[in-house]
Amino acid sequence: MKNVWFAMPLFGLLLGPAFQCRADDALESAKYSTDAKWEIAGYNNEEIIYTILVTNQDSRIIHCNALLKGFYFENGEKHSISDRQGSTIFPGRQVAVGHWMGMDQSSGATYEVQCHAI
Amino acid sequence: MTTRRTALEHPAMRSSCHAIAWVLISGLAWSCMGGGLCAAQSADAMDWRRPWRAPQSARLAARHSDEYAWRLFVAINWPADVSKRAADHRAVLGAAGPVVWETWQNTADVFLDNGLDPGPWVAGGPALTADSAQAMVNETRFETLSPRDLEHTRRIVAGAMVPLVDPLAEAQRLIEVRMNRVSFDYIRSLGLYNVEGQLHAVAQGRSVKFPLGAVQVKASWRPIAASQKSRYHTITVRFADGATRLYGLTALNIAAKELPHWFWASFEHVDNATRDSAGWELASRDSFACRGALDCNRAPSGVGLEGTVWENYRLRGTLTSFVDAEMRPRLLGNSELEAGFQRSASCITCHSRASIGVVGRPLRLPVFDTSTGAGDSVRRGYVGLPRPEWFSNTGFEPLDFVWSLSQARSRVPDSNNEGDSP
Repeated sequence: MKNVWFAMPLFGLLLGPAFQCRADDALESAKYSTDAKWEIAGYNNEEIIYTILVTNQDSRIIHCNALLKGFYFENGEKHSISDRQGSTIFPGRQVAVGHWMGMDQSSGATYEVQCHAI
Repeated sequence: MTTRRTALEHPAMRSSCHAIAWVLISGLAWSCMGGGLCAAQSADAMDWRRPWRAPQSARLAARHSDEYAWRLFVAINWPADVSKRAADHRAVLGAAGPVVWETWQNTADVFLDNGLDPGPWVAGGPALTADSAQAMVNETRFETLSPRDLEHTRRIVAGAMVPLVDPLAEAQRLIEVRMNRVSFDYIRSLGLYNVEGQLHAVAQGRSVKFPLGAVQVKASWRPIAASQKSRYHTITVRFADGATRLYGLTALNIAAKELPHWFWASFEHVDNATRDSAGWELASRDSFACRGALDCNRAPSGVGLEGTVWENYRLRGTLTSFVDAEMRPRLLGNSELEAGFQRSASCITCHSRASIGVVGRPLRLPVFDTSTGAGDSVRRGYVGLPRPEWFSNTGFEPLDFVWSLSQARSRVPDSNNEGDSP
């Protein structure tokens, strides 16, 4: 895939396109990194797809929940949209937690990922 | 109910030398035989006597490109004898059912996921029924996003993200690429159906050169209402969940190896011209149908299209060279097949970039030109003369204008090629 743009992370923190994380909640903490990108795909590159990637940097299996927020246009009007996806990731593996089609790239998108060991 | 007529009743043959005036003007000598058949005596005239037979003439393709395009169009859209994967000369143009090119090999059946030999050309062909009254096809013949490559994809429906169940069923248009037996047999003879075969061919210094008679088509279909059926060549597509939907042919690009750089012709359904989302951004050029002004927005008369769905199709133009006499890039943009970059579309230049990288991983040259700095979201095609540095400076070997070769997979798992594919 080509033509990659990176999303800004959620929380208003300018952490860069990819960043390291350590979950410290009540669940087992886990070490992982996240990344996100816009891609164009499909015939004549007509489909805009937003992908959130999570890499398990822990020695254990982790489960991650990704919250996505973005925008789309319908009948000329701009609407916000959000979605949540979960994924289980084995040690050392990178997984696309989700692919989302149809959002407006120029409006941007944000995401939040939380993972814990299982 | 479809009325079947014999080929002798084909209007192109039935008309009593409909083009006598035209013949006189052009100085050609014709003779009319019993039954109204007109035989061209000049080697410089197109032979329409057996319109189901595809022409093969470099000279005519170069000198009478627009008429040659229509001649090809009629031949490959002739009703097919599915069992023979060839024209049914007993049928009449416009009869319901699959046409010739729909019996050709779909690229999905040429470039297999495992890179294996697709096997010989088989009579009957895949994914077509012998029911000539209703072309029912499976969705596997179309190109689109692969759910295998993009698992867990979601899309927006009524303000919510929902799983993308079937990318094909939800696509606004379906695209397919097919090749005739000459093309298919050549690919098999050189083993070009996988990446290793392509690398082997170019490594041995054997240029990939498809033979005369090779024809490949790219088609676009859109969902249509039953009330529109009389205006379109149609198929009924059966989707993975068993549901069926009626589709109309909206565009057809034809590439024929009559010339070293191929002969290119682009056709569209007339309804595309004013489609809400895009429409035609470039003027049509059809000297055969128009006989004067080039953009008359009509199909040619006297070649059998009248009263058939095919009279609703238009030639958008032909290409036999990269540039015109003033060295300006020649453009040809189809609103369906070049959607989003009609104004920078040139079949011949774009396809000249069909190639394989022989240094490192077997990559492909990009389809779109991103060197303009306009950003990746702006799709711009390549136009004008191909540049040698596209290939020599970057270790790419040309593959004779055949982009579909980029769909070839490696026989070695996890080493499949990357890069754009049109």
